[in-house]
Amino acid sequence: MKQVALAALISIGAAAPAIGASYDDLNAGIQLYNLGDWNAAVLKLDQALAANDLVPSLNFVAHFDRGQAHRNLSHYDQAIADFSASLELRPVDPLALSARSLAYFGTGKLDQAASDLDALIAIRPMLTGAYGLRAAVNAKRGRAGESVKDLKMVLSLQPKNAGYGLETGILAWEVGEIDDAQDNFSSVVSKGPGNIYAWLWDALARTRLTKEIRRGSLPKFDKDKWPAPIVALYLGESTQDAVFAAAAQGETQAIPGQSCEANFYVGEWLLQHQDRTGAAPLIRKAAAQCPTGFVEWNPAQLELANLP
Amino acid sequence: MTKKTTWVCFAAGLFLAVMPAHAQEQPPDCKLRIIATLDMQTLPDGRVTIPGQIEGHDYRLMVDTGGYINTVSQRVVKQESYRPRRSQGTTLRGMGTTLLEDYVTVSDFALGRLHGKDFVFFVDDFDSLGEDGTLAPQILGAYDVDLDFAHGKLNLIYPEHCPGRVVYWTQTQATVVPIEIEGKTHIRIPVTVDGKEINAMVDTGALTSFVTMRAASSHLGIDEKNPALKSRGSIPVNGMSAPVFNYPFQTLSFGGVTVNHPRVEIVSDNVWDDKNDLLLGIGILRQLHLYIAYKEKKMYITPALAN
Repeated sequence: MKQVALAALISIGAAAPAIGASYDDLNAGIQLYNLGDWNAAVLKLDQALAANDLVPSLNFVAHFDRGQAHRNLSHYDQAIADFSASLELRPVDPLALSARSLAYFGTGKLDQAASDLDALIAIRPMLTGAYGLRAAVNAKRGRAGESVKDLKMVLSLQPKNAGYGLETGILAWEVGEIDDAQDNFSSVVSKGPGNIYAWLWDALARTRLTKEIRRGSLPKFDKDKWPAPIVALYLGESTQDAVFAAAAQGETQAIPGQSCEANFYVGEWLLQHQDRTGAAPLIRKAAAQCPTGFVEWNPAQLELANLP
Repeated sequence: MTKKTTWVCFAAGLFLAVMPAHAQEQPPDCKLRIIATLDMQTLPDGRVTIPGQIEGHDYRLMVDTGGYINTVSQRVVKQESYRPRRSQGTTLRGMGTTLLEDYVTVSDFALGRLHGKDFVFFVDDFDSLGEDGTLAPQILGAYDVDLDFAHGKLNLIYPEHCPGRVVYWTQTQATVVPIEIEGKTHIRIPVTVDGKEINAMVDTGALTSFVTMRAASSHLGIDEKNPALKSRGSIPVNGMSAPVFNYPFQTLSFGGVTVNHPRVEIVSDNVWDDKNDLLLGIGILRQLHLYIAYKEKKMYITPALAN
């Protein structure tokens, strides 16, 4: 091919700054990020950023991906620093705002998380996940009213044809729409085996609505495994002590989750039976100890506002 | 990447702006004439977006050279108060295995200062904070498309240029490869992998570069019993969960331009209809500077950092 010097004819060609190996390091870092190899991604992106010669749009993604890698490694402070660097380049970027709010939430910096989520919602007013996270942040801050308001927004943003689901039912429960919640739980239970948690929620909702708990609707589940002891309690076949004893058994990794669920479901059971004094310490434990990824986490935070 | 099941061309006029009459002719001085220079943003996974305006509002559209048709997200549909219509006889597959059945007509679509009317965009249900839709060759193919990944720029250039005289960004030798345009949209080019020839689809919308086991066997001499294959288990590729293997490829060459240690995965045959080709995703393409001359049916390639 004949080479023709056309650089002078296209201004962008002449204006483009020179960049070095940092671009190759960035590409390698992105590939490692895509593979979930967080430590290796951080190393490559460190190299990509060290020369400080990437164009701003690539600098943004280098910081963003390194921030995500740090967050996945639970290096929250480094993640926040990287997301902040991304936001200096694009102050209202929804990806960076969302990621930084999660990192702030992970470190318990709830005011900063809320501030980022406010900014995110201002530019993405129909972003369901942002309302969901802000609801969690506000629940943790003890602002139950604001949390419920956001949860109502999450419900209203769901597609009209979304159908019934456990999470929708829990949202309805949290905002006090117990009839809708129970419709959702009941529907999920009827869809087949394996929905034992939906049955537990259905039992709670039925108790609150003073409806009978339906033993016949129990889906197939393993009666020798967790959360069978909670089912037995709800059916009147066991005791609280038996639930807590069972929660402390099993694989080491599973015990914190079982303990969270024992506190939450026994606490809620007592609440629905008007034993607020008995319920309070259990719900407090659930709110403090449940992992944030558990569906019981947010309801436990909100329930705190109603406790003596 | 978008996968077709049946295809009906929806768009009547593919050009965004009414080109001036002289734009249809080669300029006497062989100057390239840029229509739009757009800032490319790189998504966290390496794919790229460019700014576009829909009904006067700013959005980010992912550049998808492997797409069949332009798409918008549900967010755009809600924000612009569109009422999607069900397509008649046209069913497309979007990212993953989503069926694309509904479409909207964008009455004012703009890229830079170019405006076009009544463009069809299919509605995809993806939900991304980084992109609001995809831009396929349905629009891109009307121009020369200059992808400068390293400097974050995408240029749309009038296609009527002097033959072969496009490589403005470097004095070093560029590779020129002939391109086949499949199904009016997809770019197919010859490449060499570890010394063996195979055709490749150029797909900036695909995250992963891959080749099916059948094509690997017939074109590259790698079969299922090859001891260098390393199973990655069953992971999502092209929206389907399928067995995936790594293989230590050494080089992937486009004429004189070579990518070392290219990451090309080997997947089961059911992942992709085009069992005989290799799919070049963004991970490899980002390492290049690509000038796609759709009308001239050539692609000009240099390393991304050539200047």
